[in-house]
Amino acid sequence: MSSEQPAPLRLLTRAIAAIAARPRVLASFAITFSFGAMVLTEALNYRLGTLHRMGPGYFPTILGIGLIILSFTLLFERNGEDGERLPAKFLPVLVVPVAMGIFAFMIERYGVYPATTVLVIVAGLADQTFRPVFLLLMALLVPAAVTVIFVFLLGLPIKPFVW
Amino acid sequence: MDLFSNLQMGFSIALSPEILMYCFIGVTLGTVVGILPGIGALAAIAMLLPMTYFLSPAAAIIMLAGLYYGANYGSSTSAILLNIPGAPSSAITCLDGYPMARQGRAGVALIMTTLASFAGSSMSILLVMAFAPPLAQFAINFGSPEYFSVMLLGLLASSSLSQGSFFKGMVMVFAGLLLGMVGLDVNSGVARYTYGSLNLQAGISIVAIAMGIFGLAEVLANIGMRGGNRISMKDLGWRTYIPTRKDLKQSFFPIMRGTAVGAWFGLLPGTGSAIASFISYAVEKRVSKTPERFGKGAIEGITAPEAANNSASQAAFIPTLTLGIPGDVVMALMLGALMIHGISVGPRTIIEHADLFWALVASFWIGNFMLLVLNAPLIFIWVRLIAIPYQVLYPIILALVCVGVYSVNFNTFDIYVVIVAGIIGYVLRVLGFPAAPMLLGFILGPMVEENFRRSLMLSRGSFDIFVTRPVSASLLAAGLLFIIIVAWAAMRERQKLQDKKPD
Repeated sequence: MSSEQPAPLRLLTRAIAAIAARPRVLASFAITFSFGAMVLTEALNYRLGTLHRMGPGYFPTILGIGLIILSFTLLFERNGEDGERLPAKFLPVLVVPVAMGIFAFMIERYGVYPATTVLVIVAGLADQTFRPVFLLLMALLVPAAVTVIFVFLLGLPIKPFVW
Repeated sequence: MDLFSNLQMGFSIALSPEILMYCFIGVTLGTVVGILPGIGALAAIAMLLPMTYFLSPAAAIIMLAGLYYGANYGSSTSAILLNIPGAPSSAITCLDGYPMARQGRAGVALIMTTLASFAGSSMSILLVMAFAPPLAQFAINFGSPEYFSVMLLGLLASSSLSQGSFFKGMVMVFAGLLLGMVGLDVNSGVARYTYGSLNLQAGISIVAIAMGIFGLAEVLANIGMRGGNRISMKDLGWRTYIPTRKDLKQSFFPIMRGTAVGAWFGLLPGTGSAIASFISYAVEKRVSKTPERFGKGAIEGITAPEAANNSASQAAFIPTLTLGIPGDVVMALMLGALMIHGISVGPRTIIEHADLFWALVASFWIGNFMLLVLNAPLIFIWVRLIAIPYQVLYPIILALVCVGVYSVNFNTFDIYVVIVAGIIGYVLRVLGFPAAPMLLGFILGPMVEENFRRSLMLSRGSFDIFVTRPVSASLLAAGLLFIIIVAWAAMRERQKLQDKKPD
């Protein structure tokens, strides 16, 4: 079948197969290239200036172009698939940022003690070996320790509770 | 002033009760975070940085420095006992340390690495004392082309010598330079890459970036991981800690060589203790008459790299304190800490802040002695730390990160920066991008641009200025040499692979 495909289509299928075999390489390329492109488009808004008197846009333009060039070198790397073989655990990556976001939202509205309590509880859910008693204990002790260190020992102007 | 009166002055400051206490806190905390896998010196320093704002500059820098070299002592412990490095610089120690532990020689391994660490540190402190002042004297005549070239050398070295690919390292350097650029341009007052956000105008907080990329990304990668095989505490009776005469004899020259390797990589801006320990292991394996013992519990395989990483972390203070160019990533944070205290580091620092410099050097001696005489006997306690499960640790780490970063500017925006940086850092780890070159680029970014622009202004737009000045030219030549070495090594590896194929 495949031998009957026209040449361009054959090339395309082969390219797709090659890409599918090297997902990390493709992802590295895509991230670097789009980052470079983003940098470059924004750099165009700044005055370039001359080599003698560089404007604010000169250096970022160089870096943006550099990133785009570098992104292509990544495509041809032999060890491009090297990376940390992390277990496919998406839970922490989803839950921990959410927990920290809630902390950021709460600290000025409710105080550092309740904010840390919620942080510990929500972040604790990221670990699958979930044990309620243990988590409750952590949720009591960690905020207390944090409050003692930052508010009482270091005397930072952070309120433990906001009413 | 001669060396002795300087040292005397340094010790008189470093031995004051307050400073002594912060030094002790620093080295003890360093040992703890070194031992615990999942928090390194870098994350710990980033977390502690906000707290040091309330200390005197000397107390702050001495405590942070103690944390840094203390972590190097501790990190070999978990490498030996668990086969998990406490910090990247001890990854290589697993290779022979863990087999030693399984042969019932864990105690000897722990004591010998402590001795090796102490030896490596001591010799590099001597180097700091001997070479930092004359180097600073030499660097006083540096103009912007020299600064640009030495920073370029550092950035090239960090991307070519970090684990993984050179190009990915370069990408990270570029990304770091760009992140460092966010905010108001010093020359023109134009807000760059702020996308209209007022929070970004003052630039991105270094603490937030470091905590995200190193602290949070590390936590995200480690949650749910279970510890390795545990060595039973029964095997760690006090008798097992006494090394034999043979152990000492076999370790002497490796420690010397490791120290030399470490000192070299410490001096070189942009490279650090992790690289030093890897290279020194390779050196030992090559010079050994019995290379087949390596990987099966050879004592040289742990003493040389541990001497190297300690020596490197002390020597890293030389470029940091004389040029203001960080020897490695932790040094970059240290510079940040000094800047926050109103001390911008450069060749004049050693003269203008002589008291600070010599107090720091004196504290190195004190801190390393503390590590040797206080921590070595406490190894019994330290090894028990390893039993703390990560479930207990990570909520504490997260709480410290969140409150710590918030307390720098009392701005919740910084917490969001940590979150974003952490997720990005995690993705980059999975894709095999090294994180260290990015932080280095971030710190050096504004200085690189500033000196680049100033050089070309001096030369009226001609690049000749970088190669006609001898110091700048030799620095650039060294950078070129790095690229050639990296390319050559890559080529040789490819050749090797091709040679293997026909079999």
